[in-house]
Amino acid sequence: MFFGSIVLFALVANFVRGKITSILSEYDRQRQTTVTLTAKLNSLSVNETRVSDFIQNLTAALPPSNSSLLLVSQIRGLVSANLLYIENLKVTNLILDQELNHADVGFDVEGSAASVFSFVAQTSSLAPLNKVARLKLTTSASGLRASITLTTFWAAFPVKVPAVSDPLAEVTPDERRLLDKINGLSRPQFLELVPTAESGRENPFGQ
Amino acid sequence: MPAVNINLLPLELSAKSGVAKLAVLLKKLTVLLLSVFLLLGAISLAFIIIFSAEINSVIKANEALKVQISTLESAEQKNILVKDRLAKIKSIEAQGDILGVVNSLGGVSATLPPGVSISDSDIDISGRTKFSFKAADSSALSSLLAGLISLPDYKTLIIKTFTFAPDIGYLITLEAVPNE
Repeated sequence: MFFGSIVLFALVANFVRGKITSILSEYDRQRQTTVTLTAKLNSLSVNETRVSDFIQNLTAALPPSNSSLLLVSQIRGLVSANLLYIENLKVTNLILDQELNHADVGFDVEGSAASVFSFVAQTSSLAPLNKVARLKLTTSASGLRASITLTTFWAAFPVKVPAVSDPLAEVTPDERRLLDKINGLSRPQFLELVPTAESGRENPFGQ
Repeated sequence: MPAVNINLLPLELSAKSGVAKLAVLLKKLTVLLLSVFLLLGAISLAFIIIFSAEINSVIKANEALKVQISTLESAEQKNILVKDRLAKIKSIEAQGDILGVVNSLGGVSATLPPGVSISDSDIDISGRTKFSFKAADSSALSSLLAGLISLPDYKTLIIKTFTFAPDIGYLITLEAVPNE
């Protein structure tokens, strides 16, 4: 009887210990989920309008589709502002990648040396983002002729949204500085070409 | 009337007094053990019931939070888009650029001494850079070289060609080795 009680006690105690451990771990897990969800909800509520402002500038800096045309439009504006002459504009070296696509926009500009260097320096302030890949300078009648190759980038929008219970990735201070820089870029006048609404042909026989 | 202890069993079958005491002790211990067992069992059961109820209420609260978050789905999508764009822009920023070199050359060009002009330059992303300048006289040439040496983007400047023609002056071609 006595030894039977001890064995029963040990078996039940072991079962209860396992049960309590699993309940405690589940409780901790649920509490952690609550903390994560609460933080996510607060963050989303606070940042809802601010994030919308970032989107416009970020999409202008790194569009979802081929950005060559946008960059060409920006270059033309910058050429006019610097009183340069542009020719041989072409888009080459199109590289399509799943993560980041890029293409080279090549062109020649001609004008005074100061204008040419000023133009090249200002390309870094244009959206969409671009990098000066090559610069070839030769003397010309009006000063300098520069054959410039700019690499422009674009990337498709993400298609997967994480689970609701996943924590929200906040913008880090480094990213905040990058955002400030992106916000300072000169955005193109249009981000996409919207077809004009169909005017329709008036029915000459209508009442 | 005094209690009378009647034992009808034969005397040889009666338990010895030590064994009888042990049996009584074990009986008491068993009762004690069972009491403790029941007490702990009751406490454990209460613990399990209370915490199960608590877990259920936390799960319900989490579900309510998830519903609230779902109403902000568009904000979450925007946040994901911002993080995605930033990560990709960071990888673009990490790529090489010759803008620094071009700006330095622009600085040199702006301060070129009289009689010196850029004849030809070729700068590309691989770091290969070639400059050609025309200088009317030797003093202009030495001023030019002093300016070029001050360029911070290159560790070495190699003179590739150096010619003189009476009608145009000095023509110098340099190849620059960029910093690591």
